[in-house]
Amino acid sequence: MLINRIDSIKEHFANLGRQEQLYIVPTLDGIKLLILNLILLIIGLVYANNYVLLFNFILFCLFIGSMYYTHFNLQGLKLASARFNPIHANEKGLISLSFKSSSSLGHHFLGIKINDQHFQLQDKNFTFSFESSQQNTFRVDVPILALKRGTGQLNRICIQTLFPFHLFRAFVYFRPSLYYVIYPQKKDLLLHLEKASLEEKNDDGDDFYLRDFIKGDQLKRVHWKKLAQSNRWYTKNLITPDAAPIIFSFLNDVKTSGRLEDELSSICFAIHKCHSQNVRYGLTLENIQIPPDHSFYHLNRCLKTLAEYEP
Amino acid sequence: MNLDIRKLSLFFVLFDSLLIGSDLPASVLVAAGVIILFSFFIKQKTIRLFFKLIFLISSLFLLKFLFKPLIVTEAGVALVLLLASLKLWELDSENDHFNMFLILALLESCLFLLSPTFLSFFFGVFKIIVFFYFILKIRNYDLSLLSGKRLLFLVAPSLLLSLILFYTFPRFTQGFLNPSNTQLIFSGADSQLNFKKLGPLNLSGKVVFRVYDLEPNKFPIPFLYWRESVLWDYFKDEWRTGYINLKAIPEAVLAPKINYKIKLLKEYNEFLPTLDGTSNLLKNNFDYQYYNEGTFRLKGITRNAVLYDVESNTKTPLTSYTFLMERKGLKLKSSLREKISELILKDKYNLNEVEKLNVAIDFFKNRHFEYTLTPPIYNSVEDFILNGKSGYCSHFAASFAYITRAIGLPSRIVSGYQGGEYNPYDKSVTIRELDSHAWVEVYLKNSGWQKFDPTAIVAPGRIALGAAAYFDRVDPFVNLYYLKLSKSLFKFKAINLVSFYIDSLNSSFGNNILNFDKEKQQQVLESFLPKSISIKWLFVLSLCGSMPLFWFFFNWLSSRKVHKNELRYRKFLKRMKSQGLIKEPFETATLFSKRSSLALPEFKPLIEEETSHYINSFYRQ
Repeated sequence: MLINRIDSIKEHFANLGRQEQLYIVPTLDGIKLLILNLILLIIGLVYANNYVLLFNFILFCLFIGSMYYTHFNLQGLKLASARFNPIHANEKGLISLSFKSSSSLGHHFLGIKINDQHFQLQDKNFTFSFESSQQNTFRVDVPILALKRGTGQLNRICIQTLFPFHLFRAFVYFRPSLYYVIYPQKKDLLLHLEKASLEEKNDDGDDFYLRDFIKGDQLKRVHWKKLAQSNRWYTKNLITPDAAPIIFSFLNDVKTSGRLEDELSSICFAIHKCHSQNVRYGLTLENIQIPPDHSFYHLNRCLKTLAEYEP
Repeated sequence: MNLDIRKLSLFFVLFDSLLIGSDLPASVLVAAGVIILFSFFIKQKTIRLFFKLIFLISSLFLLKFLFKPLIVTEAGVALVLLLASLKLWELDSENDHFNMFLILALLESCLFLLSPTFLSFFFGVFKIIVFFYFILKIRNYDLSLLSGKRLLFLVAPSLLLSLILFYTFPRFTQGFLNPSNTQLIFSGADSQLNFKKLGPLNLSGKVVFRVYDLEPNKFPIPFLYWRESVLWDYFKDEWRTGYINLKAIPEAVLAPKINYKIKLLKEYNEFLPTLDGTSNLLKNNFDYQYYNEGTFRLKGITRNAVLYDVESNTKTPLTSYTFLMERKGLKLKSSLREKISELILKDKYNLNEVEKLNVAIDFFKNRHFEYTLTPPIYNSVEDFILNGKSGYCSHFAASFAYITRAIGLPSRIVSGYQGGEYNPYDKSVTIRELDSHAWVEVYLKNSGWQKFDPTAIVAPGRIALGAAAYFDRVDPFVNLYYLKLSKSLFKFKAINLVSFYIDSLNSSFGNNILNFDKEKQQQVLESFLPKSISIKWLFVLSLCGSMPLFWFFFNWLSSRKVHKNELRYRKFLKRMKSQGLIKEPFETATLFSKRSSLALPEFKPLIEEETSHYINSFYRQ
């Protein structure tokens, strides 16, 4: 039993270098309690009153005990993976975080802190808890609110806890290197330009257009040539789309008009509309040109281009 | 549960006010009450702030007016009480709740200062815990997370550490002199007696001292007189101590000796009580001076309990008699002295001292005084001797000392206690303030200072029954507003036993916690530690050493328990590692078994056995 315990302590120290550094500082309440301890110590000494001294020591030791408790509430927590589903600006979304824990106590009332210009937490007081269980992996979906379009990499997530007595704040910084995309806000402003495009013909002269392969499609309809070229799966759709392809572009000179965000929002809305109506569409944004197409891949490509667009 | 932190805070503040109220001036309690009352009616934020400021400034002025100087304990306690009342105005945010918690903790400490009993300590700590629980509840904590094992592992090491720190904390001070003793109203036995101020007697059950190792069968408790101070100087209706110039070495106590221990609990006591007769202090840890009037006076005033061993002989009267004592014992500056002397002696002259004493006793008996706890205020001792009808021990002792001095017998008043209460749980005798008593010693050339108790003439029952029983007999009712309830209603055997038990518990708690001073600490630590270890280093060691202990506790609590078969497999992997084979994270047990069997064929049987054991344990039914 003791040897096992010593082994576990050895393991703990061996892992210390590999773990994220855990910080712990007293909160304002903790500092106040410390000052009270000091006052009680002085009173106890001045009046040589042992009850005051004992009361002071009990408070002090509970303070120290709560420090360890807070520390061990975070100890052993590792961020296994993080996932960000693209969302539009001004929309609510989720960041999925998977944690691994080596603590049998569980982790309670963990708060999260994210500093990013593109999105923020929906509820700043959002907390989550993990009960201890045999399964040592936990997933939490953190609700966020996208603030503005853009792409970026979330390099730092702070997980903190005040549990149990709010006397100490323990926190750890995880580095998930999480890539995220926030598309422009969808607004039906009709501020963009829509041009009809010439129908795109296939090289082999067949009358079909390509769409993304959907599970369940017949294998004989897979475009093998395209698969070999691009390593992407396409299904040959023999029915032509109802409408002619549309090319979206800016209505005004976005550099001078100052209405870039509105135009992007307007295009974004139109793209979604076309996608839902099965209309092929493309983009022409100054030097950027995306030929008309209709697929989820194409949708994401266009939206990402809009998210990243800088004049 | 509907949580209302305001109601809870109000309850605690009012409750503590009741407990510490008797030690504070009534005006402080009234001020606190007014502050609390106003907090209910003033709702507007700006007006509230204005009134809060007004009350704060007025409170400070009130304290300045009431306490001179301001550093006395009672002033500090009053300030904390007023601050707690003011804090009741603002209890809206979580921050306010925590601040209230801090003030309440301070208020509880004040309670420990003024009423250092184990009940007040435990109840105070309990109140603080309850308040903190409510704060956590309001912060929407799921408190079930803190229950059972988790709470135990938080509280148990904390309590253990707090006790270690408490017992090893170096007591480099015995407390500083507190000027508040000059403002206290003394009750019980006193070192001065002002006749004009002898009003109705307030009986307090507060314990003054406890006596251990006295056998009640051998020494009937009602007949025990506890000597504390001697009042010699009579000037303008006031009797005072006159020990100056009476310093001496204690007289040898003759056999048969009574050995006992006394624990003096009353604060600010100047004199040490001992059994009346000849006494000597044996073991003690404080400085004192013996005076040949038979008193032991502490050098300096202590706030803590004082423990000392005494040997006494109650049969042998004190014999020390000097010229100075004769002068002190006969001193009587009074215009009515001649008149009273004539009244006592009438036409009897050339009497010897025993005859004089008998005349004095007869005179006192013929006055037919009555014993009462509520006598009228007399203008002087002479007024009482000539016109008085009723009084209590102080009246009788002062008047009898006057009478004896008037007829030329040296006498002095002894202030102390009589009787006590036996506690069968810790075999101690408890002497309370209501047992305070005064009697007279008259010097007779052949037999020394003879004890004479004039109260025994007036009310023999007061002496024979003891104070508590006698007062119960004299006044068997308790007045509760307009109701008159018999005291017997509250006297059940079970209640008496419980009160005795609590009393003994309080006593043992006081021995081990409250009175754990420098000497006791030295004794305890030296009993199981080498003398070379200094206490301050022991404290530092326990403080620093307890940190890894805490860490170990929590690490043990939080580490995931590994199955014994998993541990066995880990040992096997460790052994393989020592042979240069490391299992890759993606590698299954079977794959690793195959690889290692090829690399280390001599270990093949072991590898196969350990692998199959591991797989059978976790992957097969």
